[in-house]
Amino acid sequence: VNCGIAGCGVYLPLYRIKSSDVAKAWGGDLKSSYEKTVQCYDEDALTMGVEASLNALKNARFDGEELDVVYFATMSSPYIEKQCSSTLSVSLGCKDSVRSSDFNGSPRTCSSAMLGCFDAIRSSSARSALVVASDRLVARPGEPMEQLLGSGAAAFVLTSDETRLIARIEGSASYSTEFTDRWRSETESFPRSEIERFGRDYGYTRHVTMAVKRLLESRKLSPKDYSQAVFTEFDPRRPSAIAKSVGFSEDQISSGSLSQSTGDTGAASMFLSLSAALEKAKPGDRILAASYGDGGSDALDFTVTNGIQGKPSGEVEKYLKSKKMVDYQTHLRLNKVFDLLR
Amino acid sequence: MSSALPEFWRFSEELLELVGGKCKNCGKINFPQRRICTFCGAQDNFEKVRISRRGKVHTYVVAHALPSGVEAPTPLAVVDTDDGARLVGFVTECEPNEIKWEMPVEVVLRKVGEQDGRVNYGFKFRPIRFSRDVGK
Repeated sequence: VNCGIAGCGVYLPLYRIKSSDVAKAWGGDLKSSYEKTVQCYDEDALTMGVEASLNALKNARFDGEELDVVYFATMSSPYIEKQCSSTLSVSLGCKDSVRSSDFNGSPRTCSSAMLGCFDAIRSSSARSALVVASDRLVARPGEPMEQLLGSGAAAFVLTSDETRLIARIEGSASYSTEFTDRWRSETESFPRSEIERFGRDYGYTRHVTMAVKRLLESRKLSPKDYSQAVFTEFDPRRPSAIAKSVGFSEDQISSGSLSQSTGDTGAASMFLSLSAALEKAKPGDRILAASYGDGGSDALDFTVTNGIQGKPSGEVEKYLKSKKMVDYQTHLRLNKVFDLLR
Repeated sequence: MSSALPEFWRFSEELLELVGGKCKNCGKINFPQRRICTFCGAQDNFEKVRISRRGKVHTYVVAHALPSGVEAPTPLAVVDTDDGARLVGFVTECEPNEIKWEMPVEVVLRKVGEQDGRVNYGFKFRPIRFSRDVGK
């Protein structure tokens, strides 16, 4: 069964803070123009996920009742016990026979959930599915991660109905090992991370490179066959390291690179970047998307179809431009950091 | 101690899906859904409809004393949606001096409160961020 993406939708919170303002609050002097998103105090991974999903349904011209599967991917679920996907599916107007589930615990969870949807569609147990990745990431005040952790959400409507596709999934490859570079135990409010270079070189770069190379080998393709490549981004420099080790040019990775404006959006990162890439795509383009989360990477191969013509675009750009800058104290208040410190 | 849990469950169609009852007799939307139409008095003659997520502020008050989970001061508004339903709720991402009569707003899902570690979800209004006619 051929299947793929019928449409995507994104959501970024209104508020932003300059990474240099976060550094300044702790006596640092950061020379960068990076910004990160800050969610409103009444937002969480679920509310942002609902906004992105409603945008995706509208852009894909789908109704919630057409969905057989709804998967929610996050590592910042408002609950440890209780699933968000059931609330999500009701909010989208799905029928009560919908199969809904949460995927938790890693920024890689976005591709796990998406591949789960594709498997359900390929095996004909579903015709159409919605997968949304959403995260609100909050760091312990004063930690270096505080300059980067942001919030955002992105959703895809997936289907086997070829007449409604904008991109077809051609294949995927995974690479999994035991590796820990960022974690949060059940008793902790904030994530911790290992010395940066170890995590970057042996975690991120090695895993994503292996998954991407495996995909290229199995598809008998080379980096130059792709018009765009997007990755889970922890910071704006990471994708360049992958591009270098696999052989993509800066041009191929530039349109999907968003973290200089959004910060690290966790599970939503690769989905946001894939949405940005699709908005710039033409029929026939190949797009490679690769996720990463401690010890695992999934690489996905997409071909853009003629269906992309006439589909809404420019949503990512609109959300990036629609913003209100806040200072460090406001950022602490909106992030509800004082509740988390208790 | 009484719990709001059954109340939030009972009104989940309204709070999460924005479902109202359109009177088959007079065509007006009752929100929340009820058995007797507020406008014409017809009984048990409704069709479920998902109401518009766009509307305008009919009137408002700036609330200073609020339950836990809502920051004060926050505007509390009566909003008429494009399809004629009337909703009451908080306005988020809006300073008290920014709210105006007839201000266009969109209806969004937000946390409306917290109780016993449980999050209560419902709708709030937000000043329209940008035109929804994406790509046109």
